[in-house]
Amino acid sequence: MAWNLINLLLSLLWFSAGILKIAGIGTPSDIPFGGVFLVIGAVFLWGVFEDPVDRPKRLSHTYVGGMLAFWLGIYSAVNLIFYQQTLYFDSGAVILSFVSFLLGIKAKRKIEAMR
Amino acid sequence: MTIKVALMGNPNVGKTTLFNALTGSRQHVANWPGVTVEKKEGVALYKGFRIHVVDLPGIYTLGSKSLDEQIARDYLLFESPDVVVVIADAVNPEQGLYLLLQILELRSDVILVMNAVDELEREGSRLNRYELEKHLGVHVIPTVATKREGVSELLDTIIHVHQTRPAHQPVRFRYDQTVENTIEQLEKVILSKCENLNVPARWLAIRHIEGDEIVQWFCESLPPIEGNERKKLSLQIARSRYDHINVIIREAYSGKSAPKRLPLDEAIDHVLTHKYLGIPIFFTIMYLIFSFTFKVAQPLSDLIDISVSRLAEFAKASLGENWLAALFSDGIISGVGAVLVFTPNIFVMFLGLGILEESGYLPRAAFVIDRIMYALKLSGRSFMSLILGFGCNVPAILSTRAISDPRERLVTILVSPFVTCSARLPIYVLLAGLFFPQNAGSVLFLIYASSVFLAAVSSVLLNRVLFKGEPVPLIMELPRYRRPTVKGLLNYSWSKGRHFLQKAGTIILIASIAIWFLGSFPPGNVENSLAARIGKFLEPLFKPLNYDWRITTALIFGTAAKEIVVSTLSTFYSSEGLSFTESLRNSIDPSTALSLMFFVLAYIPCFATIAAIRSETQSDKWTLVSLIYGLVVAYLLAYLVKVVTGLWLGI
Amino acid sequence: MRGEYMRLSESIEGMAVKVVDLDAPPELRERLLGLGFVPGQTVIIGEAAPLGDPRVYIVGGKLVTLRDVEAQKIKILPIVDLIPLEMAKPGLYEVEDLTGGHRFRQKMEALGIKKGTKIRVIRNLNGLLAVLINEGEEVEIGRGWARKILVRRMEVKPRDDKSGFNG
Repeated sequence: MAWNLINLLLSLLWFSAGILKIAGIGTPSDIPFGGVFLVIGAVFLWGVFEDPVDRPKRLSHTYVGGMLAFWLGIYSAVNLIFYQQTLYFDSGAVILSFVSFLLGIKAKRKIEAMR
Repeated sequence: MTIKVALMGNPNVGKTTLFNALTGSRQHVANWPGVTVEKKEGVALYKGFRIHVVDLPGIYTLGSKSLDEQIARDYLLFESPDVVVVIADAVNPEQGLYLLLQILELRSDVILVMNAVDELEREGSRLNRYELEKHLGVHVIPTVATKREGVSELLDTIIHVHQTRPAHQPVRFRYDQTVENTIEQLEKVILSKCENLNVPARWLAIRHIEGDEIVQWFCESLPPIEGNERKKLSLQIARSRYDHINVIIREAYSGKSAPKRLPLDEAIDHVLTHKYLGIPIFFTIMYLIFSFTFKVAQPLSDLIDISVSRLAEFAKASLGENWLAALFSDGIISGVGAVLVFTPNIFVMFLGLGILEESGYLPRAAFVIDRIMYALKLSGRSFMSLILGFGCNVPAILSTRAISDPRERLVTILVSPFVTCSARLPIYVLLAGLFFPQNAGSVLFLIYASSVFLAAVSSVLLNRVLFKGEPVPLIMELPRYRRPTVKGLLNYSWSKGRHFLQKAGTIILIASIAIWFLGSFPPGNVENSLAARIGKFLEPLFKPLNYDWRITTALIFGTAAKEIVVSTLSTFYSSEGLSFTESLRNSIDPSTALSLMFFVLAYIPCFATIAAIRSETQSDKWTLVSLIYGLVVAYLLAYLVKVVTGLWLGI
Repeated sequence: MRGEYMRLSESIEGMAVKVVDLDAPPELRERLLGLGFVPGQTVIIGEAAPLGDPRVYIVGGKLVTLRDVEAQKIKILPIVDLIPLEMAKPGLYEVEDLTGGHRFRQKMEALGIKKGTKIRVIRNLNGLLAVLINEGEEVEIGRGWARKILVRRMEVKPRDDKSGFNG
């Protein structure tokens, strides 16, 4: 249950970040880059839809989403340091990525312990 | 004393890692002319021996006709290595041992390496090497190539096998009685018909049954075997080999349960090849790599850019106001520097691709995208190469080496110049911003979409006209996921990126000097320079497109590197007193500007790309085809765009 | 079980099958043999690519991708051949079990479906099936019911040509 909630929560956060990015609210609009946020959100969201009996499958969405978030986090950090992007949005993206990444690692440990 | 060693094995069993572990830093990558798949060669100096190691392409069988398999087999047959090392995956050894059994029929001085025993132990099972040795009659070395475990033992054994050959007789493997009868009959025919055989008659007989045409090369006019009979026999042969392997595995492994996938691998695969998420994730990963290529590398590129212009100023200052100073600063330093600026981008991109390749995602990406590429008569593998082209066409063309089918590889090389590279972006940005300020973004998108469309249409066309071939089968193994190592990544990006520095560097150097001379002589007004004369000479050709001599010259210079188009235009147009952009806007109309963008999109790629096409196809003919095809398409497209937009915009 | 064998391309995700024969030309045959597709070998069907065509097959612990064009050349026999009717492709099936409650069984009984009934699937549109029960009249069965009927394939019709993707 907890993981379902985590996946749902993360997907909501990523979706809203993506919509802000695409619409250009509080940050310059960038449609393809916003698309990346949406895809990461979708990866988490589909974890919620997985067959509840199949726990590894749910966790795998958290893990892969976390990995994608990790790279996006680095990219956002570079944006923040070198390109004077909007402080709030980009630092928010970095924090969200970091949290997703940590949860992803946790999900990975859980999957590995399951064999 | 030199010992020639051939490394053979299935793809993805750690052959190259073992090769690097064996040869250490002395390895050099040799590009063998005329072949599409790389063979790597290296030397290990060990206990007074020169061990010359050849890393052959990964294969599953000696019998099939694909190019990589032919290279490996021909090396085995005709280059006569002293010792053959067969590498099998310790976790899933079946297919590796199948290849070993085929090789053992040909020769006995073989060493079997069971790689990645650590992963096997992590699964909780163990491997008894002596049991394997007993059953197979060859030396068996368990290794962990990534940690160099077992490497020195392997080197010792190579020397030992070479000195005492044949150490022990390999176990002669018997098939079913019906198969044995046929083999025996064939053996008799072979021995009576063909003398001076340097391969075992039994091996020839088996290969003949399995339908291998290489047999003709050793012994002509063997009695043909009828198709159905041949199929029945070869299925029986394969079945007996696997039965034998299963018996060996049962004896030699303890605690090995039925093969199962790691739960983490299964979990990752579930998401990465997901029905709905698979393709979006693929595009997300590609997009992230592009963004990294441009943005993360940019600060470094800027640093190089500043250093280059400082250096140019310094050269000018210290050499004084003469033609030599101008040659150095404006010609060589600025020209070569323009390419060096892209080095960080190239290396970051290869770092990203290295992560994809080492982790095992790349085959999954090919798998996910395969259906779309199949419609274009390409496979998912060539899509990866084309995607690279958006960064730069040169690495895109170089990366086609991993495409094993020669026809598909050629088509991919020929269409890749249409994928619009980052060097063309400045031209689009300049013209779109100047002539379509309201819709610059849409114009840019139109160009990129047309680029993909041109590449796709050309691929279908080339396949139809030139090859009429069938689609290439996608039989591919998805390896276990591995965490990429820093060492491996650096190795990868250096070995790939080095090509860019070497080839582009030398060509750009020469081109920069040439363009500087053409633009500066005779001294005085640019209008009278050699460059201008060339442009004016060719101007009539571009009359229908409404390009004047300045654009023509810029386009010619742009063949060295597409960025030069912008700088040449700025030189020529700014000499009229007005600012460069204003005078450019006054000189040409929007429809000409749009057609120019399309011309730039399709016409001759830069020198480095042409050189890459030449060196990768090994053919002047195909290089020429690519050049002419690009020019024709560019001209027709530009004309079409001009006419259509001319009508549409009412100019 | 008489008649034509099933093809690997007709198998369903998660199924375990045994290779019976290869119909491939010599070159492809050698390749498939080298990868482990030999008669008698057990193959587990993995996931399909997003657009349904290449699929992953698990052979002796390795994951191998094949397009349907190639998988079609491998004749197989299902080892565990029970599938829910929902997934059944056109062909003849025998009912093995009904996995619903008492009321469901009663409803099925009324339709004439019980263990051992022969069901011929005429078409299957995403789980909405048109079937003949014991070669009788055509009946439609919805997804909710079809999911609870476990069947075993009895004969195989040639798969309708969905590979007409000629570029």
